[in-house]
Amino acid sequence: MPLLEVESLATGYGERDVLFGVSFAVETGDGIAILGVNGAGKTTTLRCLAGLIHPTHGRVLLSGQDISRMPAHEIARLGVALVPEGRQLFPKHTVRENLEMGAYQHLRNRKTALFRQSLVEVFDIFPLIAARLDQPAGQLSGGEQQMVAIARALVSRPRLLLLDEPSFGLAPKLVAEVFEVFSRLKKTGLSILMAEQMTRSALKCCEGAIVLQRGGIVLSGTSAELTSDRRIMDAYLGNPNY
Amino acid sequence: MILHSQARFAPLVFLAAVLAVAPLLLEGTYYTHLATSVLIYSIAAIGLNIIAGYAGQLSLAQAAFMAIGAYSAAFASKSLDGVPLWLRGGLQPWLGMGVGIILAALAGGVLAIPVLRVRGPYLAMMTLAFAWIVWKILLEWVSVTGGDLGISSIPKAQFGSIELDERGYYFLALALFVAVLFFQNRLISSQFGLVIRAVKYGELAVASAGIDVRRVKFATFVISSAVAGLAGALFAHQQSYINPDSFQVFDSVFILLAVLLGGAGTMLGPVVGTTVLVVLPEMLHEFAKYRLIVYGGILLFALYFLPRGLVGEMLQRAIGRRERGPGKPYVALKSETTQNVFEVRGGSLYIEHVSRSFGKLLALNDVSLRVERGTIHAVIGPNGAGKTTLINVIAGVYPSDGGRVVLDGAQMMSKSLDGAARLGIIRTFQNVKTLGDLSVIEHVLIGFAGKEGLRLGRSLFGSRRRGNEWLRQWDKSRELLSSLGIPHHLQEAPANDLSQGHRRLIEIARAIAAGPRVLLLDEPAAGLVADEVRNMASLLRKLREGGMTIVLVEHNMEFVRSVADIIAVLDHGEVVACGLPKDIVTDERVIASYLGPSDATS
Repeated sequence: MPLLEVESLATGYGERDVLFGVSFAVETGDGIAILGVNGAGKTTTLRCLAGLIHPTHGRVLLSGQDISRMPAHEIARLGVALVPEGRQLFPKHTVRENLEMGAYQHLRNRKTALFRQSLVEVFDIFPLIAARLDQPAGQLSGGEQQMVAIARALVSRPRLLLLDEPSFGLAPKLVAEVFEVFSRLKKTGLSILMAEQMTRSALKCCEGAIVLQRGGIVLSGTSAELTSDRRIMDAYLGNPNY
Repeated sequence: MILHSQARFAPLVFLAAVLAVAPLLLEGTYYTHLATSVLIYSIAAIGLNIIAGYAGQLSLAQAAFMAIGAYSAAFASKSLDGVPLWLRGGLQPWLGMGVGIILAALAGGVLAIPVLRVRGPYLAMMTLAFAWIVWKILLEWVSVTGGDLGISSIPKAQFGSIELDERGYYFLALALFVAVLFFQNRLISSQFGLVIRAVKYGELAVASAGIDVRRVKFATFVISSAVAGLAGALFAHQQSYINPDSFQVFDSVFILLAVLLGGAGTMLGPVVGTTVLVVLPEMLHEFAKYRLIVYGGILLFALYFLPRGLVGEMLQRAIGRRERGPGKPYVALKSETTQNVFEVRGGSLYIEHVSRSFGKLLALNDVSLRVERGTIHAVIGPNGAGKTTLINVIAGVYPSDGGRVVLDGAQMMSKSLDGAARLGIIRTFQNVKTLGDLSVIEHVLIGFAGKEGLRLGRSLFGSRRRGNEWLRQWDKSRELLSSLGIPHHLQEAPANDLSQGHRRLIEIARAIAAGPRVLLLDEPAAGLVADEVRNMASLLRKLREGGMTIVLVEHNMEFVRSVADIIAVLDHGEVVACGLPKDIVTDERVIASYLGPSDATS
């Protein structure tokens, strides 16, 4: 059974419909990229899976359990973590406090040892964070904030990681490193669903991808299939060399 | 809010017509008196709506400004007692109103200076304190205000030798109410009104277009107080007896409640809210002692079920319906209006030995860059290298600790974002700043407002030529957005409905509209797909051809290489390399610290 199954998902904001019947699945330990131009519905898909908005039609199943009507905090407790668009850190809180918020459910259950271990792991990925631990997150540079946002999701030790533009604001070298980290984490059983504009990096990291256009899937396949057919990619995404 | 520019006058004219015939149908002076009260409190609520509803500055002192208007009108009118009747009749209501408006506006101006430096709850608390003080002065300064007995036998308003009766006074109040309503409408749909509404959602974005936000808020606060002064003067002449009981802190809360219940930031919201709140307790006459419970209940109900207010909720439904229908057809523009969008007068920007530290962290260490006119100068570097800090120093957000920034040979002296913007240095933000409910096109118009300079008088009473200029700006904004790849059907949508990448394009359109000589772009390509990045690149080249100078902070190296004339590499606050793109991307140190060993740039 796939970890995440999305069945004809439709949703929107108020009167405005954004997604029209999207279906796909993510297997345990797999990565799936959501590609598409701006306004296609990538962010909306992730927000809907995280429970920030709810579907108007269709279902979302996590390990077979229907989570479509569940509030966001309950979905988070089931092991789904979102790195949201615009980072959404707590700017007045220190970096450490931001990470504690990420690990909230573990700390609540007094698993401080687990949190400490998670910290060591994220410091290993982002050594810069260790140096900034006691600074208010709002004072960090844009790229550093992006690292904290990713780290905050990781310390919750999720089963499913939802990433909205993980490369946003990161230097090229760091983008490569972060995507390598994602590949490594997948080998430990983490599933990843990422919306990403850097098509090439995303496809390299993920097993498969779906391409959204105006709220519907126009193309899907394994990364190998998609990268080999340049014409398809050109048609939907422009030359993905960037 | 598109409705401001379109369906404007029809409902207002209808409302005025209904109100004009209403008293003819009502028997007895009681209802006429009640209807006049509705009009007077509506005027005060409209005044509050301008500052609290549209500009988002929550004031709890509206009844205090009413009091200032009422007491000064009463003094002025009573001072005419000795004047011969024929002269007095010509002066009486008008002199009182004039004095009331002016003194309330003055008080508003004096209060605005300290109060508008703070925000949110602090602003509310400071205005509350002011309301308290005014009330206490009215109560305690017995020799002037008459203490809790107040001022009695205020003369009735007169026209010539005719003393206005209840019905006559109703029509006077109605005429002024309609005038105030039209004034609100005109103000809010003007360029100045657009800026007022923008201030509510983000002062930084408004300031970055070169607009002095504090001046805008000040003017708005004064206008709001003056309108309250008018309401107070009308109140004094209606009652012929005033005392501090009518101007307690609760009365300020009452006016705010009327605005919230009707719909803050809507044209008719304050009128609807006031009508409900004044008429409802009268209908529940027997329950007079439960009046406060009724108000409290209404407040709880309104805030929970109608957060946009009665009128706001109705508009929301109407807009929702409209959006489901077919989009508005796009009318092609006359070509001459749009030729000069990219015509710019770029400047040279020299950064000389600039340093900046935050506590122990040295964010910029002796940075020097020479950006020549009409070139694109990219700044790259690892995260936390100081790139955004550099932009902030150039744009006047932070002062530098040492060194100087020289624009076209003159040292930049501006210490503020809007000051630097007025000198021609316009920046965009890495984390896009869009403004709440404002439509996409209105964001660009904010840029034009900064470029043209904001004049309240011209905005309100401008000539037809001025109106044409305003329309031309709409055309230019459309053209600019289209050239950036924002399709027509999205241009009138609220900007917050758009995706992050599109919002970034809006921000760049706003920056271009603000008329920069140097454009500072903080990661303009982040969040854009390949095609959109290509559009962005061709836009920047077009701007460069037009003479614009551009400083570009960016991580997308393919994009940087395709547009930059010079690339500077910043690391740990220092310029470690600077040169032609082809040299920089092969520089060993740059590859090691920034680009990474894998060929991420191919």
